[in-house]
Amino acid sequence: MSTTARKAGFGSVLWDYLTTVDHKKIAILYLIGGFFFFILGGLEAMLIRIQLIVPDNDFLSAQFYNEVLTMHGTTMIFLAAMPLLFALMNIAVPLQIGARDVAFPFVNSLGFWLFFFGGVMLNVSWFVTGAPDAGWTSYAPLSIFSEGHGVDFYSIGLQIAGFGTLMAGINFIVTIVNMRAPGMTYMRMPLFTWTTLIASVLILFAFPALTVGLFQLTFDRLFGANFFNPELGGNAIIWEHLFWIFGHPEVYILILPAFGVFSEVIPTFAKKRLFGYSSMVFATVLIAFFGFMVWAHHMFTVGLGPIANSIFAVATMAIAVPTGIKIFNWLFTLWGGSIRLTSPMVFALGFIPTFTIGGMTGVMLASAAADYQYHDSYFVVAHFHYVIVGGTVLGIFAGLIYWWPKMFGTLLNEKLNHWFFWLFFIGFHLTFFFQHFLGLMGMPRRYWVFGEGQGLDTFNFISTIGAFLMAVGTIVFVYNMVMTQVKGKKVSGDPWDARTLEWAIPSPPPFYNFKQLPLVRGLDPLWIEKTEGNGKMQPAEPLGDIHMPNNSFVPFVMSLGLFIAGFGVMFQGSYWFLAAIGFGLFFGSMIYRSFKDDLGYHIHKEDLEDEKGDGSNG
Amino acid sequence: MADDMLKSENLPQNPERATLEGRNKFMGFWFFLGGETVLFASLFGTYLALKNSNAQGPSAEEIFGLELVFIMTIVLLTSSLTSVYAMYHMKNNDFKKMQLWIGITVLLGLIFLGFEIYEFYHYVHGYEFGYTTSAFSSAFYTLVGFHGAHVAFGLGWFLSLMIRNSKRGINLYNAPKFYIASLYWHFIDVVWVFIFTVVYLMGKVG
Amino acid sequence: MHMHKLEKVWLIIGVITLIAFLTTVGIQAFASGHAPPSDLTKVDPEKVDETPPFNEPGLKKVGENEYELVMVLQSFGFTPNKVEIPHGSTVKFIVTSKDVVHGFEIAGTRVNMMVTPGHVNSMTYTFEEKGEYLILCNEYCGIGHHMMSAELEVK
Repeated sequence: MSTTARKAGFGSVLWDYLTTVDHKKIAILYLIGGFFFFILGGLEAMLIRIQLIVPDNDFLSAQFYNEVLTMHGTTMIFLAAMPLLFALMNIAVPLQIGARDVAFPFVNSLGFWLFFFGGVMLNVSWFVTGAPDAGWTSYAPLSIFSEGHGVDFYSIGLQIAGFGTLMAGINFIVTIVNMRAPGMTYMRMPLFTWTTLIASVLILFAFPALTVGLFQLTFDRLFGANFFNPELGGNAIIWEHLFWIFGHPEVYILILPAFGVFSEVIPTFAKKRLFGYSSMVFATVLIAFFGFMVWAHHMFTVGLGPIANSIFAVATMAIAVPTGIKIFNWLFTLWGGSIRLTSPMVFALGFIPTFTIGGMTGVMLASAAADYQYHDSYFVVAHFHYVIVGGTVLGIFAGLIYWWPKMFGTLLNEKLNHWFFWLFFIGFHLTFFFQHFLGLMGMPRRYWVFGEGQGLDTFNFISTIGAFLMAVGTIVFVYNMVMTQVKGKKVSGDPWDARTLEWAIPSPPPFYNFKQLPLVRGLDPLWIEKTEGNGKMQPAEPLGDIHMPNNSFVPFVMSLGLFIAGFGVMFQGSYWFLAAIGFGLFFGSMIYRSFKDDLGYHIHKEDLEDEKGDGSNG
Repeated sequence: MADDMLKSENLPQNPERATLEGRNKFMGFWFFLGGETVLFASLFGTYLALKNSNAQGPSAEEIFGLELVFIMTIVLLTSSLTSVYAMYHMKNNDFKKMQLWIGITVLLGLIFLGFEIYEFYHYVHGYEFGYTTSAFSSAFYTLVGFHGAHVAFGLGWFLSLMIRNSKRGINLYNAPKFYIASLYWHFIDVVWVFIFTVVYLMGKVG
Repeated sequence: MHMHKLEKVWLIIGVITLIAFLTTVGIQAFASGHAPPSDLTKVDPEKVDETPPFNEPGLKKVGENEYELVMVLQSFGFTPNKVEIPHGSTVKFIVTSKDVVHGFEIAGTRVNMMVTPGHVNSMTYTFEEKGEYLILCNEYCGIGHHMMSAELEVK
């Protein structure tokens, strides 16, 4: 196999991507999939804001509005934010730890295709009997009573996507634990790798709770089980517990990798080592630990008993401390640094105050007694958009711009990036800052219309204007991505003058990543070589054969199988044959894989020597 | 190097952990079992919350009989032991004996599964205790049925490994596969011990 | 591992803050009893109408300036849906739902409860200000969610 670029036809490129197990190509797939769903979720958000631009509006019907608001939440969390984070993890983590690939390349590809088909399944619902309409939390028994197949699409689609996420999580844990380059000890790992590790551990222990909840919901709706049906002894609160046992760690799964991105971006553009590296690691672990003990703060007003409420309130407030430590660490890193205001850095600087506001309102909500005033009002809507958009989404964009050269070998237009930032940032604050006040004035969540003359008109109008600004910003960014690729102007392997290992190799990296595994001499290994050595990583091994995994079409077929089976299970009756075909494909693929040896192949030493360059970023 | 993977001579002491792929599988599978633990913990939690919600249907005390379940427990525990023997022979590079002990494990697993199917049949037809009877019945069948499905999957896994490798010996490529299959089998066994205690013993006595 | 001296100081400050924080909140919650109201009673959602006190929803006087207001929620309304309360009285709200999860929020006060079928929830509040209050369902309950409300007048 040769690495020299040759013009390939569309068909062979498509086939390459359908079968790839290369983490860098899977990152691109995650990026495309995640961004597509991000646009879709954004359109749904625009519909919601247009509906609420004036009082007593009838732009959407009540039923359609409920479907749109359910799908907006579900899409943004599961199909946009998570895959975009996986895109960043896939491109950066193996390179940052000096590995040639992830631990399970096959599973990595399977994880992507499961997410993709799960997402497609959810959105097929628009065309078949209507989308889910029970809210993204799908509280039982409302989700049991919901008519049509909308909620079935929700439970089965998320089930499939959830399996994918779980596999991606396990893959990253093992990659980080087992595949680090010589000298890369735990306390020398870049912070983004650390947060990926911790977020993956959270995925591992949180997602099975959702799996069980979704199974119960599916069985209740399709097979007459009685988990949430109070008439035959079921208990609707079980769903709330299972959902939030998953759902709260999910919030940290989303935010921790974003923290990781900022901890890479800020030191790079402040030209200073990250202040308090060890306290950052400590804070990350602590946040994850507390993250599992706070799920019931979503349920204060259910009435769980005073002791339970107090314990959950204490644990929730305690999370503020490690988060505060992180904020100050970033500020201390900036202090005295020589700051370059590149666009990833501007995103990071925008993130700090925005996320702090979100954190403050979080502490307000955490005090159980005060929560009684805010629960289920627009105040909550404002709060979680401040942390998720102000934290995760800004982090994703910062990371995307920062690692774009590693993914594609090109650099996004900085001027357009700044335009994007300001439009998005101002739009965001216009949209959500005023929703705090709407909440305090008593406007509840998920209302199709609000009445005239209640003093809610002005703030709702401003909010919608802000949403339009965010949309314009996003269009600018999409234009920028497309134009950059059309022009295709290549940059060097280290365009940001950065500090970590991924910048020590060419952009985009060769498919085997490192010609020779690098020797890591400390935190920020590339920076050490730049300041104390000759600017190039020292090899830790002589040039030798490299073992690579084979491409495989099996992950695609397996995911397609589950996708088809989902329809059979849902429509039953004469559609059971679909379930037979789907599960046949799924288990057949597993047997096929266990009967066919997959030993991978070797790139020979001689071929590596023939390649130009020494594998460094020059 | 790739050809060395398929050789059965001169295997190291722990062939399942001799290669990076093997170590990755080994560790990844332990993490997977961690996730499975949460899965079963959630199912147990649901069961405990609903075990007295039998509505108009029969209660736990009325239907459970400990004799059959006790035999099932012995069968499954024994199968765990036989899979340990199989792994012992794998480390000694004795392929025939390993296949034999895995065969016995599969047989015991089949017996267990047969008993479980009989048990469910008995509940449905003897007591009119169906899946949709009450919240208790749904929780019971889901918890025990999930475990049963895991057993069935484990049997299919062992069988396909036995058939696939019947014409060659142990090598560095398939040793990790055998090893994690037996890890999975132990996990299923541990879950059953909890089911026996929490569902059957506490249902009958508690 | 190399650690800067300032970083060590910072780490110690962080740990001390964490401990101080946990202690304060813990003392508040457990020793001073600053816990939110809560109710653990259950009810069969099929038999709400026969189960006291829900067989007679409405306002009951239970003492000097003290009232109990029993309310039943169902998609998409409250029973009763218009209540008058004397000024300055203390009211205990006792609520349950007959179908799905609803919310019970009195806009402009701290009364806010999640109302789950099969469970009873309750909360006490003293009305110090005269005027008309709006009772809302704030827990998303379906297509008529935005219509679900009741009136409460304090005279």
